[in-house]
Order: sequence, then C-alpha cells, then structure tokens
Amino acid sequence: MNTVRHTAPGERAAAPPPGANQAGQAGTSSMTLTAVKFLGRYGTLLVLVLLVLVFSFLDGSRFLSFTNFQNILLQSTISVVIALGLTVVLVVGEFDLSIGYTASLAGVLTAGLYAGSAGGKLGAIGLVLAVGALIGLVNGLIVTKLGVNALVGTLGIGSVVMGATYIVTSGVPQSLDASGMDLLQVYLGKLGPIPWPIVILFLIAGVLWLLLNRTSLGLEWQAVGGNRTAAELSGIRVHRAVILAFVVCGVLAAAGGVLITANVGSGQIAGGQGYLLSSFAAAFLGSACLRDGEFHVVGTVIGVVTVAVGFNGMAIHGVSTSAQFIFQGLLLIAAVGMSTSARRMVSGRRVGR
Amino acid sequence: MKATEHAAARAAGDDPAPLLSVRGAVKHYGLVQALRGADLTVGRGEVHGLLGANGAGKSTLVKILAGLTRPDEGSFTLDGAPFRPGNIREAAAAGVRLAHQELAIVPALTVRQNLHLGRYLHPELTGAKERELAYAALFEEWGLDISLDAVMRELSPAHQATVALAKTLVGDGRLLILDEPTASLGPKEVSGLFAIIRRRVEAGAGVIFVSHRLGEVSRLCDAITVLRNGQRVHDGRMEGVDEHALADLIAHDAGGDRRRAARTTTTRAARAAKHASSGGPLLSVDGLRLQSRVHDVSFEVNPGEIVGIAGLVGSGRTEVLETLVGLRRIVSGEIRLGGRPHQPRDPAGALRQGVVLVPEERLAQAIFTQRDIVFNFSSSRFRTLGGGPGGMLSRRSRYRESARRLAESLRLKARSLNDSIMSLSGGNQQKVVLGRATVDGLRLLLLDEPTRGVDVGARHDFQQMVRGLADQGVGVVYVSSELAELEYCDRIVVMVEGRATVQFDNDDRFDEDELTRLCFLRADAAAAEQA
Repeated sequence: MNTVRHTAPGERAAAPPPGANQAGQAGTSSMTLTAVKFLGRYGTLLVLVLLVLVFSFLDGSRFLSFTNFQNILLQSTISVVIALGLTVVLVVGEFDLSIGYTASLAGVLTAGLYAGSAGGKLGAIGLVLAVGALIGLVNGLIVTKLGVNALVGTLGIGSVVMGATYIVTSGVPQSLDASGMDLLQVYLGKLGPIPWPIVILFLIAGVLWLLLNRTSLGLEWQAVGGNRTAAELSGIRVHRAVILAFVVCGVLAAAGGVLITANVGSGQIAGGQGYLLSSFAAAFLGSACLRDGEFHVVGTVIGVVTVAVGFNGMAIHGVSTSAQFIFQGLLLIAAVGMSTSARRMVSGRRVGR
Repeated sequence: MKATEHAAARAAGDDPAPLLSVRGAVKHYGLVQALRGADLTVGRGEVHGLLGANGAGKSTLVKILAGLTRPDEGSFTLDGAPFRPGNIREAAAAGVRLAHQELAIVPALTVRQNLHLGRYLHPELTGAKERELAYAALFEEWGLDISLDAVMRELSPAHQATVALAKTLVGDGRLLILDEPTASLGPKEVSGLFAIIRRRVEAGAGVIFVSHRLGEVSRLCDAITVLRNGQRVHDGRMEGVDEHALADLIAHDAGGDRRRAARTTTTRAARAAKHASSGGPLLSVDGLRLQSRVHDVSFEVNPGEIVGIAGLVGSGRTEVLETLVGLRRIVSGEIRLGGRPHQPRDPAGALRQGVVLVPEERLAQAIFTQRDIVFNFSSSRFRTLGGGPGGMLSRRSRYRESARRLAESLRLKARSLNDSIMSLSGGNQQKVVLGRATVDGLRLLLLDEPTRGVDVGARHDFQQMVRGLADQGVGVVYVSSELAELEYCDRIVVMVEGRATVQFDNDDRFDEDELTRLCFLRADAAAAEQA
C-alpha cells in the first residue's frame, strides 16, 4: 500500500527506494552494512595492500625492488588487454567465456602470418584482429538475435574456436617466421626508458577508458548494463550496443593473443589458457574497487595488478604452482562476493537475497 | 441439500447456519484503511460472487480468510466456530483454500512438481499416489489433456492457469476462494471450471468467486456481495440482477441520473464522423488487435490533447501503449501517426518518430538505480547532445546543463544533480523519467500509471508539466487505474477486457463513479446502453 508522504519544499527527500530494506530491519545490523559497503569500495585495494605487506615481510629486498615492480607490470600487459575486453562485456550485463580460446587462435594465426614485408606484417595483425572481431560479432548475434544465454553461447563458440585452432595448426605449435622475429621486440624493446608492454598497457587502458566514459557508446553500454528496459525505452539500440561490446571484447582478446606470441616467440595452441579465469578475477576485483560493484577500466587494471602481485610474490617465495591456482580461485570468490554484496547495498536490497 | 435449495432456503429466511460469516472486518495498512467493517455471509452449497472496484477491499478480505494476513478487528465464523487462521496452512487445514490471482507456478518445473508444491492446500490427501489420482481425476473432469510430466512453461497460458487452479480444486475444501480465476482461461476452460464449481457446490462446499467479469458472475453465482470502500454495500441473490445493475452497484450510481449525453461508442461510422482538427489527428488507432489481451481498440489523439484510458487491471491498456512503441506486434488493425502508418521496429524507432513511453514499473523499467540524476535525465539524449560526428562523443557539460534545466522546470527536489537517483523520493524519480521522455521532437507522450507511488505534491507538479507539454502541441495518452486522476484529461476512452467500449469528451461534469461503472461494462452491454 502507498503511504502518503508530503515533501516540504527544499527538504531533501530521504525516502528509501520502494522495497528497500533499511538498516536495522530484519537482522542486518548497521555495522554489517558499513563493513560490506567499505569492502565494496575499498576491498580490492585492501587486498592489494595486504599482499604487498605480506610479501615485503617475507621476501623484503627481492620483492620490493624497482625491477620487480616493473616485472609485475610487464607480466600484466596481456592480462590487462584481455580483461579489459571482458570488462566491456560485463558492463553491458553479459558474459564471454570464449576469450581464452580467441586469444589462443589469434596467437597461432599471428605466428603463422606475421612475416614478409612491413605491409604484410601490418596486414597480418589487422587480419588477426579482424578474426577476433568476427568471433565477437558471432557471440553478439547469438546472444541478441537468437536469445541464447551468454554463458552457454560464448562457451559454445569458444569450443568452436578451439577446434579451429587445432585445424589451423594441425596440433603443432607454430613458430614465427624468421622475418617475423622483430615481433619479439615488443617485449624486449623500449620506448625511451619504458618497456613497450607497459606503454601498450597504459595506451590500451587509456583508450578503453575514453571509450567507456567519454563516448555515447560507452554511456549506452552503461545504460544497457544498468537497466536494459530503461535503456530500451530511452531510445537506445540495445542489440547493437551489446553486439559492439562483444566485438570489442573479441578484438582485445585477439590483441592479447598477438602479445602472447610476441612474448613467447611462437604460437601455442593453448596459449590463451588461464586468461579466462584471471580476467574474470581481475574484472570482479576491479568492481570491488572504488565503484560499489560496477565494472570499470581502472578497477580492472588494479585487479590485474593485484593478482599479478599475488603470483609474483608467491613465485619469489617459492610457492608451488598448485597453490597459486588455489590462491587465484579463492581470490575470484572473494572478489565476486564483495562485488555482489556492494551492488545489492546500493540498490537497497538486503545482502544474501 | 442442493445449491438451489440452499439459496431458496436463505431467501425464505430459514437460513441454516451459513458456512462463513464475517462481521465488521477492519484492516489497516499503515495509514490506508482497506476494510472498514466489512460483512460477508456465504451459505453452504453456494457460489458467492464477491464484487467491487479496485481498492474496495476484496483482495484484503480474501487474504484474511485464506490466512495470509490478520484482521485488526472483526468476527469470523466458519461453520459456527470461530475462524482465525494464523497462516495459510491452518486455513487450508480448516478447509478454506485460496486460488490466488497471481499465478503461483514455477515455469521450469513439471506439472506434477508444481502441484506437489501446493500440497499444503489439500492435506486430507495423504501420499503422492492419492494426490496424483486426484489430479488426474480433476483434469479428466475438466476435459483437459494435461500430462503430469509436462514442463509448465511449455503449456499454454490457459493450461498453466488450470494447473494453478487445480491445487485449490482437488480435495475436500469446504470453502474455495477463487480470485479472478478466469483471467487467463479460454472459453472451453471456463466452461469446464464452472461445471467443476457447480459440482463442488452441489456436494456442499461453498465457493467465493471474485471477479470483474460481470457476465461470468451472472452466469455462475447464486448470490453476490458488493464491496465499496471497505464495506459491504449490497448482498443478495443473483437472480434478477443484470449486468447494468451490477455495474451500478459497484460504482456509486444506484440508477438515476447517468450522463450519457456526450458519449459515443467506437463504431467505425462514429469515428469517421469525428472532427479532425488542423490537419487530422496526431495518432489514430483503428481496430487494433494483438496476440494477447487486446481484441478491438480504436481511438484518436489530436495534437495538444490529453486522452485518458480508463480501465481495470488486465483490460489491455499497457499492451496498447507497448504496441505504440514497437514492443508488440500487431495482429490486425492499423496505427497511424500524423497520417502515416506507424509500425516502429523498437522503442528507438518510435523515439525517432517522437513517440515515448513512460512505463508502469518505475524501478524495474525506468530507473538506472546505480547512476546519478544527470545520467537518468540524459539517457535519451546521449547522442543528440553529444559532440563529434553522430554525437559519438559524450558531452557531460551539456548533459548536466540539460538536466539542470529539466530539474528546474519540473521543480525537482534534489540536493545535487550528482547525487544517486535513489536519493530521490518516488515522485521525484518519476519527474526525472518524465524529463527524460521530453526529447526534442516529442510528439506523443505515453504515460502508464504515472502517479503510482508518487506523493501528492509531486503528483501535482507532474500533472502541471504534462498539461504544459500538451499546451505545446504534444499529444498525451494517460493510462491510469486511479480514475480520479483522469479528470485532467480532455477525452476519456474506456477499455474493458481488451476492447475500447466507450469514449467521451471530458467536460466539467467529470464523474468518477460513473467512470468506475463504465470500467465494468463490457462492450455489448455498453453498446446496448447507447442504442
């Protein structure tokens, strides 16, 4: 039933949204609320600081060095690129489970095609990115036009892409052509004092930030992810926005694949393996950072760095690989938990249901 | 005793103890009083119709009987013994079972599983075997071929509704309460249901039949009770009472002076003769028929005119609005905007034609809860106010400025436009949605229950703004169940069960009760009135 509420002029309406659960009702103490809100906003930063402190304590000089921090960033570039692509899809409210496979395919294609003249090399990169865009387009179409659930649809496409990777390589890793060895300079060279990967990291993050926050398309993405019906009724072409999000994700996954090949020096069939999980972890960690449960570029970058710090510290400390996987898994759960709780807090619904 | 014998006995005054007796039921929800001393008497072996307009108290009374809520005051007797169920299980165990208006089904589960969920409604059937036999027997009795293993969502809406009803109909309930049971049923299922009800009643059960559909009430019920404003205003036998009289009873007019002078029914001849101001109507809807709910709707909107659509929930008004912005496909009929055929592919296409919808569910369909007020104002203008080619670059300063101007003209009460939208009251949130809808080139504004959950002050501002838009030449379609609000409209169209039955110019003699009455009168009855 509606209660009649009179708002005096000038008085700020402090009415809770309909259906909201106010602090103190139904067992949610205000302390729990504040804690959740805090975690939702600073949780990831807390984790990052905690990790830095722990590893500084354990391995002091080996961990806390300029070279090591540069290493961390260097290792993060590929993850950042792929995770940022995923972030865009998460912003519109969808999922993409094909990114790892797309990166692998892009990696082997790069190894096979990057050769010959400068024009040819550029063309090769262009083609690889176009393949990524195509995969994204297909993902977008089956999710919007066919109405297939994104989790299932992109997983299926991912499987197809993996099959394609096997066909293209006949199951054999692809080595870079001799003329293509200059690709390795991406990881070995520098722009002035800064290694190329770090330049690329910030460049791509910068472009994505502008895209998401300073273009109409980016705002439309945010609207679609925020409330699809409201976006539709606002005159936004929802299907087009979703498809474009998947395309961008596909391109970035492919770009990640190029970088993987540049890093490793050859095209590995499972080169993109592991990036799916780490991208989700990073994006969710990022949403629990400064933005109360929303996905955003800066957050994702911090998320990647946080995971990288964790892995780096563990490697320095000599922790086994299996433990590292456990760490990443736990981090993902914690990240999603913080992020989801924070979101529920903002829209006024009780945590846990 | 047979049903008819019971009814006769009652009429003759030798009333055996009634099955259910409610005296002086009172219920408050906060400041709102839903029941103000309502009475209800249901006899054994009787189908008792419970009628009333929206807000009359029917749902509340029914919820109390079913154990879903407790009354503040009142005496309730079932078969002579006091009846105060603490919850639905207690009520069901006592034999009082409710089939709720909202279908309580789980689409992903099978029919058997859904029925299993409702087993508390018929505790006298012990064991899955016994229950299954009962369900199968019921479906057979109903003449339906529904497999217990079928998945709910694969059934037609009519069959889904029958499964939901089945939970209440099996077993030996002594008082079955059916709230708008025929809403999703086709004629075949309705006939089957009525036959089942008759058989239950002949076996001695009582049935309370809550419905807006006066035709069905006339057909099925032995006696009726009419509620108005939380009190009983009529009870008696159904015999000899016709649809018009029923509609009178539900609204205020008890016969006497009805204003029919300026009314027209929507025959094609009548529409053709209608005047077209300055170049023809802005919007013309002709014989609109949709896949669901809407069978025949025709009306026009002239530029600068506010046309109110009155009707009960489920009459199809929202569906008509959704069609106007491309969210539903037309089965037959024609829509013209400014003389040209109007069939937008989607709301984006409709918006480009200057047609915008403000939806019914504010939070679920219109508000970006995680965003600030500026964003919520600007979501229809990202590209039109943006910079660069095609408006692809966002221009926050322009969005902010536009938001500021809109907030001012709407008299928005907000501390800062950068605050979250959730810091605003419902009324102010609705103002923001309205502000968003007033795009450049707006020609037709569609409002679906715009003042629901909106406080009195904001309501007034809102209506002022709508009037202001109309004065600028925008056509407005205003759908509301709060009939008193339609006083602000220039013309009113009444929709009943998917048909536009009556329309009239709204002169100074606006009569809410008359309008309520019309909302119950079906097309043929309304047409008969004009003859």
